[in-house]
Order: sequence, then structure tokens, then C-alpha cells
Amino acid sequence: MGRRSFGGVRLIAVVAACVPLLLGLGTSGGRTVTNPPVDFKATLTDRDGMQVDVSQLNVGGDVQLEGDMGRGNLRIPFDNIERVAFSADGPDYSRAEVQLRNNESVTLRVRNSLVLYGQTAAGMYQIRARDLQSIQFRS
Amino acid sequence: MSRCPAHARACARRKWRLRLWWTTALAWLASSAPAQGLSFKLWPLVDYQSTPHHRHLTLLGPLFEYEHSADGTTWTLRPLMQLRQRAAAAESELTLLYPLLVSRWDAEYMDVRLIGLVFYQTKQRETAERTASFTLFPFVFYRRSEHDGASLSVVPFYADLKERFGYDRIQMIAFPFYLKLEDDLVEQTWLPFPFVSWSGGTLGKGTRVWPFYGWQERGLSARSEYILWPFYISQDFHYTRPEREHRLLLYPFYASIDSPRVYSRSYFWPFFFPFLSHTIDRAKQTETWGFPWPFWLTRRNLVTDERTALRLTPFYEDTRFDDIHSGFLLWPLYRWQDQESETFVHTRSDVLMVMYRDIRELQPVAGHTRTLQTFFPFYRRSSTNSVHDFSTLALLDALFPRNTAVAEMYAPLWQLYTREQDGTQGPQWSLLWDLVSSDGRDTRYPIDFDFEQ
Repeated sequence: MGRRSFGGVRLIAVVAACVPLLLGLGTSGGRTVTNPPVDFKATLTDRDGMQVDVSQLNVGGDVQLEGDMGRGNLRIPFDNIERVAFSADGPDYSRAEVQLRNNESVTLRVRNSLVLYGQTAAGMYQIRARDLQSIQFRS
Repeated sequence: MSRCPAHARACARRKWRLRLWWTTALAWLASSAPAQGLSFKLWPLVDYQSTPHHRHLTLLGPLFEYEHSADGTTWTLRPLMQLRQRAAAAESELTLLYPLLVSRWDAEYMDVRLIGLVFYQTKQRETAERTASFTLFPFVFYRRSEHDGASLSVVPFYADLKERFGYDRIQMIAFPFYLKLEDDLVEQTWLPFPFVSWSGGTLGKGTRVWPFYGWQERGLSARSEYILWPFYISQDFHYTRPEREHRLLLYPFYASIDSPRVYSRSYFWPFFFPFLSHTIDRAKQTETWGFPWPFWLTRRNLVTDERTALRLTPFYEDTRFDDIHSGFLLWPLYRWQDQESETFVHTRSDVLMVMYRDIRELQPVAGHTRTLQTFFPFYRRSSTNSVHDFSTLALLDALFPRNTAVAEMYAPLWQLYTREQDGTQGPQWSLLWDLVSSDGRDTRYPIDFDFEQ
């Protein structure tokens, strides 16, 4: 869904949104699965119990988890996540119980086809949500 | 010259018989599905062609068109309306004076759009729940569903909107008296907008008394603070991590960005653009000077020392960014852009934005090509793989060349000549609204009868 287009808050947001412009920067750009903007380290456990330590964890280059909450959609930056536990939720979706760093928790519904990427010593690691049991962030 | 009543009645009867004859003939032509082909043309009054699987009728050149095939049926009365019934999806579409009104419907769904501002929609959800909505953008929003009941929002008096304008929920009462926005576990409330506000929710914290002082946190991913907005604004992103990015704005004199990836300083901007800026992007290994950014700038690669961008708006630009090479001369007189990777090649050049454009796309691995060339008001030329199209004149279809509604509803009115060719097959062409035309095999002239195809 589109973000940040509501005219009513424009007055407050305009200068804040223009800060990159004011600073003479363009877009941050260049985000790829091999080059996420922030290096999050995590331990991924698949549904067979196998654990893999990865760095530069990302979802399509973004460092946030996005899913459905009720009838809406929610994005949670990895900065705020301590742990995610996955379980099956129908043929196309998985249930993601997200424990936040402030000790609160929320539950999302993510597509089984959602792919997470991370770097290991041996190379790029990728896994679909349907095959994941948990993500434990290490930093 | 006056005529007697008896003569007038006779004239009226003759006209009525003539209309009846034409109506009957056209109805027969349109509805019959002869086992063999049929062709009947008396230009520009009527042109009818049929095969066992396809019927096509035009009256008065491009003004009326009827087409029926296995894909569906289309009635077009140019430039007023078009009714399309798709066979496969059992879907219908009605267009009146496009883009004034566009409506689509099937057994479980109906969507009506009036000049992009008034929307009426009903649909059957996957969960078998029926929903209906009416929108008079951006003032009236009505929604009814079996799950949530009915809700009516009349901006700015009262609103309770979900999933609108990029927010999970928007609530307002007598705006700007009260406004509440919910988004990604953060709630922001203004009472009244924009002077007093606070943040809450699972990840939100903060209070603001605009423009004097305010602060806000969005979990551990972002926080901001201002004093005498906009004279002092401070922002931090990922502020618990080594990649922390700190932005400082002392409007209108100084601004900075500091992070492991980016170093930037900007000095003095009378409006929204810094008069002088200096940025080093360590991730991309580039150094950029703006004077003033973004209108005049130069960028170089820190590794090779090669200049990768020079922009002197509106005179000249030559920029390389990743695999994109773009520029202009005397903007908007001439612009161009090339993008080339192993799997995708895209080139575009244009004159005066839309007066002339030439776009070429190639997927070398898949072997797909697509081109588009328009020169308003003279011609439009396009191709997709082996299918090539050309038409002249080109008015709206040159300005909006990918718009299928313009191509179908309006373009035939001014197309003096059209040509289409698929691979090595003979070209199909039409001159002066089918005065003379060819289907790739046979040429048809203004008067043409063939009842034994």
C-alpha cells in the first residue's frame, strides 16, 4: 500500500521529509539481497531443527518483516525484533509470532513464499517462511 | 418551400420503412453466425465481415464498431461509449466518454469510477462476505461489510478510515481539532493539529508542542527531536546499531548526515535546496558536490577518480548511476536514458517530454523485444517481438501511447492510415477508415461483396 501521502500531516512532515534534499543527498538506493542497508545477525532454525547463523539478514534487500495483521498490513523493522517464531497457517500462509525488544509481542500472517536472505561463511543462504521455525536476532 | 400534409406523411412513412430495413439488416448481420464467411462493404456506410468464429461490423467509418469473437463482444460508439463483454471471465466493462466514467462488473464484483473522484464498489470477498463502498474523493468515504458493519466518514468533520492514504487507520473529528494516525505499531494523535501531539502504541513514544519543542521514537529504528521547528531538527536511524545514521538540520544555515556509509554537509539554502553541499557515499564510493544541489552538481568515483555525473540544469546533464546512463540537452528539449544489464536493455530518448519519444526494450536471454516511437501529431509506431504497428495521424495516442482506452475509443477517429504486421504474414492495413484496406491476403475496395467466402 502507498505510504505517507496524507496531506493533513504534510505541514509537519515537509521539512523532515526534505532533510535528505536539504542535505544534498539522493535516494539511498542500491539495496539488494547481498547489500542490505544494515547488517543484522541472526540464527535461523528451519522446521527440521537445523540452525544456521547468518549476517546481513534481509527480505528482498529490506531489513523489516512485513505481513498481515487482521485485515491490515504491518511492517516491523528488524531493529525492534528480538525473535520470530513461525508456524503453519493454511496452505499459503505462515503465522509469525514476533517478540519485540520492548518485551511486547505481535502476531503477523506472512506468505509462505516470503524469502529471507543471509550471508554465511559458505555463501548466500536463503529460505522461505514456510520452511522456517524461528529467527533469533543476535545483535 | 412548404409541402402538403399528405406528402409529409408519405415522406415520414418512407423514412420509417428505411430505418426499419436498415435496423433489420444490421441486426441480422450482427447476430447471424453463418457457417461460411460473408463480406459486405459499402463505404463509408457499412462494412461487415464474418467467419464462423469472428464477426466485425462498422458503420460510418470509425463511428460505430461491433466485434464478436470467442474472446467476447465489443460495441463501440465513438467517441461516446464502449461496451465490452469478455467471454472467459464473464466480465463486462462500460466506458462513457473516457475517462469520465469507467465501470466493470461480473457476478461477484462491481466497480464504477467517475472522473477518478467518485467511486462505487461492491464485491464478494474470498470469505463469502459482501462489501460495498462509495467514495467522493477526498471528502466522503462510505463502507459497508458484513464483518465491520457500516461506516461513513465526511472529511473534515468526522472520519474513521482504515487502510487509507498509507495509514492503518485515520481518525479525525472536526479537523484540525482532532487527528489520530495509526501506522506500523505507532499511533500519533494531534489535539489540535498541528500544535499539540503525542505518540503511543506498541512502538511509539513522544510528545510535541509545535513549533516549540517535540520528540518522537519509533521503537529502536528511528527517533527525532526538534526545537523551534524548523530551525533545529535532529533525526537518528538505527540508533542502537553500529550503522546509526544521524541527521542534523539547523535551518537555513547548516545540515549534516553522519553514518558509516554517508558523510554529508550542506550550507545555506534559502528555500528547500542547499546552496552548497558536499557528500561522500562510502558504500557507493562516490563524492558529490552540489552548487546548488540538485540543479547543478558533479560526482566522481573515489576509486577510479572518473567523473560519473555532471548536471548543469537546464543546459546539460551526463550521469552514470549503476547501470543507468542518462542526460539532457537544454531540458526539456532533449532527454535520453540508457540502462543495460545482462538480462535487460532499455533505451529512451524524447523531445519536449512527449512530443517525440523513442523507447526500445530488449531481454536478450528471453529474446523479447519491445519498441515504441511517437511523434505528435504525426505518427505512432510500436512493436512487440514480431508484431509491428504503425498509424498516422497520432494525437492522444501519441501523448498516451500505452493507454488502451485511448487507443480503442479515440485513436480510430483520426487515424488516416494504419498498418499491422505479424512476422512474415502479409500486412493488414487500412487507408481512410477502410476506404481501401487489406487483411494481409485480399485488398478490399469501397464497394465489396463476397457471399461465398
